[in-house]
Amino acid sequence: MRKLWRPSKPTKRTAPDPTVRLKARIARLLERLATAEGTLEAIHLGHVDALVVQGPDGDQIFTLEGADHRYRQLVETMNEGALLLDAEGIIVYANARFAQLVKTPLDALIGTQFRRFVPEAWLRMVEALLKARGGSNAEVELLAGLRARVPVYISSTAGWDVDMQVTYLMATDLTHQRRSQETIAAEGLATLIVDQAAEGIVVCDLTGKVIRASNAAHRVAGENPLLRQFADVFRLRTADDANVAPTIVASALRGEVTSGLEVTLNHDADAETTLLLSAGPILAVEGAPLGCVLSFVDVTDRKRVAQERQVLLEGADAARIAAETANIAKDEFLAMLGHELRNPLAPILTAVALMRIKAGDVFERERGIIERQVHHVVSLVEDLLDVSRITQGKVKLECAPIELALIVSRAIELASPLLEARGHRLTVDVPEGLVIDADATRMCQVVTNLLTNAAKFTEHGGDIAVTGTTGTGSGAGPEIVLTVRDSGVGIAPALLANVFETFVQGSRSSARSEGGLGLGLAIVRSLVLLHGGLVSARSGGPGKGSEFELRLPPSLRSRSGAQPPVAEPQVESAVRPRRVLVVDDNEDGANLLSEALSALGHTTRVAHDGPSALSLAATFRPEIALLDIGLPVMDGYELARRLRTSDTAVPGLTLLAMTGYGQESDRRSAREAGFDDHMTKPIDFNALAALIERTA
Amino acid sequence: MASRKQVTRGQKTVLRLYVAGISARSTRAIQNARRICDENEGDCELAVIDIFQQPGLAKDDQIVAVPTLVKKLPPPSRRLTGNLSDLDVIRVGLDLKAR
Repeated sequence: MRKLWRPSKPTKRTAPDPTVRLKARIARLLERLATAEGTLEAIHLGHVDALVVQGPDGDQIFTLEGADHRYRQLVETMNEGALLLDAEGIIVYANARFAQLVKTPLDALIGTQFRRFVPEAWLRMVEALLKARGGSNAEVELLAGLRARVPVYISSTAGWDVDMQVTYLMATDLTHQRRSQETIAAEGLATLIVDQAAEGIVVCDLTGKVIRASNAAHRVAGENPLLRQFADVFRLRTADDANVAPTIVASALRGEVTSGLEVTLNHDADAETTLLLSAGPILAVEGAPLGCVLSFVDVTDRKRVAQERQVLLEGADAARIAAETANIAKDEFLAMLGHELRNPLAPILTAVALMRIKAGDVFERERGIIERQVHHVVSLVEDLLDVSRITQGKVKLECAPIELALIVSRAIELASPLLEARGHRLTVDVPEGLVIDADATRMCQVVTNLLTNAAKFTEHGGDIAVTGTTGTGSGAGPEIVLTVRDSGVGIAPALLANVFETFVQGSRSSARSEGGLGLGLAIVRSLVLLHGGLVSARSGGPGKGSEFELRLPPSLRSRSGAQPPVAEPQVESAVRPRRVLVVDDNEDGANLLSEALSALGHTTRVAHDGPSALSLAATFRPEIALLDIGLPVMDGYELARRLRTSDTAVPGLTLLAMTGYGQESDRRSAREAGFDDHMTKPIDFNALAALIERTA
Repeated sequence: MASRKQVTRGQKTVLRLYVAGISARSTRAIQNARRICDENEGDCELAVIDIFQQPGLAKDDQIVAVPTLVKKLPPPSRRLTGNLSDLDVIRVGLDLKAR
């Protein structure tokens, strides 16, 4: 550059020198020229990016090639999808990322309507977005490929490109973010739930590694299970599989569900926990497994309790069976006891009868004592056997209409020895016309028991009143009511409830003075119940006497002239002599009986077993044979059959069975075996004599 | 004509750089303008104007081509267009004393 230079003149303070101004002006001009030249040079050399050119509508910028390279780079490589839409919404530009987002190739993208990528549900939102002045943004969803959707955050701006209205769009993929957020939110919630759960909950990833575990799971594991293999931490076994955890995890990861499997967890040598385990897959939205979840409940206690209960139940069962067995054994024992006790009694009575026959009045008092005492023992034994029979359900009633008055009078007869002995005053008010359906013997037994009870528990010279009336029962219609009242020792309130139980007695002193086994009232109640009636006891308390009330349904059948139950035949000294064979393995009994019979005038023979009886019968040819059923080896039935069917059988032989059993079944068996009749030991000698007399 | 290379201490320097977008040239120009500004004692103010972003402003300084660096203060106003990659060239072109 050429510089114009002028030597500077000393300036006078007179008028400004026009040259100075001029010079300055020139300098400035030169400056400008220099700058302009520099600019031109720069342009010429290509050192500029763009030129600003004034146009009719404003300045235009002309960009030289390469200047916008970086813009392109940015838009093409950024992580956001970028779009340029024309005024109709057609995509005129899209970057690769957007193509990726909507899973469509670029060439199918550019030139397409943008709304083609908007799901129906989001169309309105997107339209609003595009229309918004000054631009806007929103979270929407776009269609990605054929079926999927992608959540995006779209920013839109309206703009002008030369003379076109355009819309610039930026789309940010929210998939990861949303999933993260949802996951985070879900995680937070899940963690809360999982931690609070009473059950052990364990979440495993696809490799079987524990990624989540509830507090309970930590406890059950006994150590930190996180980030370790489930099967390593939880050593589980079942009855079939010693190490079942890997199998369960594998099956859950495959998508299979396990439900309520009982497994055992071994901690150390002793501690064993029983768990109820369930497992299943965790599936992603598309259905692929993400992992699995296992949950378990500690049922050790429950199991132990159940086992204990089982043991208790079995124990209770066993105890019950034992008790029942014992009860049956007791009943059988009582029955056996009764029979055994009864056997010796028969000979005693027979002997006494014999004594009377042989010796008349000698030792009458002593004989009387013996008889009474033996009868007493017999009645005790009968009571015992009754109770046992009743509890075994072996008592059969033969009911018929009968006057209560008759039963009462008979009962009084039986009880009178005791009543007299105790000096009691007896008042009876039982009118005729009170008819009940009853087994005469048994009902007599009931009333007798009540009377003897009253007599026993009243001091000497007391009062006993027997009353019979009709009454109305609770809704069941008319009843026949029998009351036995005494002025005796009464019943304590505590005892009142149990007074009809077996073996329960009143105060020891009064009961003991008259003996007894405490069975009387028990028998009364059982028999009354069998008759369809009720018996109850009342008392004012100790010393205030007692009252026993019997309620029975009246007989529906017309009164027949019921006969007194027992007719006692008298012993006749003159009899038709018969040939009688007595067979009993009890030698004393057999001999005594035979003596007694011969004392009456009969011809007798004795055998102590079956075979000897048979041979004796062959020669003796008895008319009547008395056979004890309980013979050893060959029992009475067998003997009877043989006697009937042997070639030496005596035609018209009357066979009488002697048994310790009074049961219906025995009567039947006796008849079936060929017996003509049957007597229960101890044999009522008078009855036997009468029976023999009656035999043809 | 000699330009007086004169920077009065404490006097503010105001530079304006006009660029077009984010080309390599623009980047270098921006960098160097910043350096020049920083090495000045006293105040230095640098404004970068992207004529793509703010096209109207190009008119103020009657910009013809970019990148152009204009020194507004201290007077006299100077400008430099084109290659702004050399610091010395810039200093000379804008009458800025080198430090």
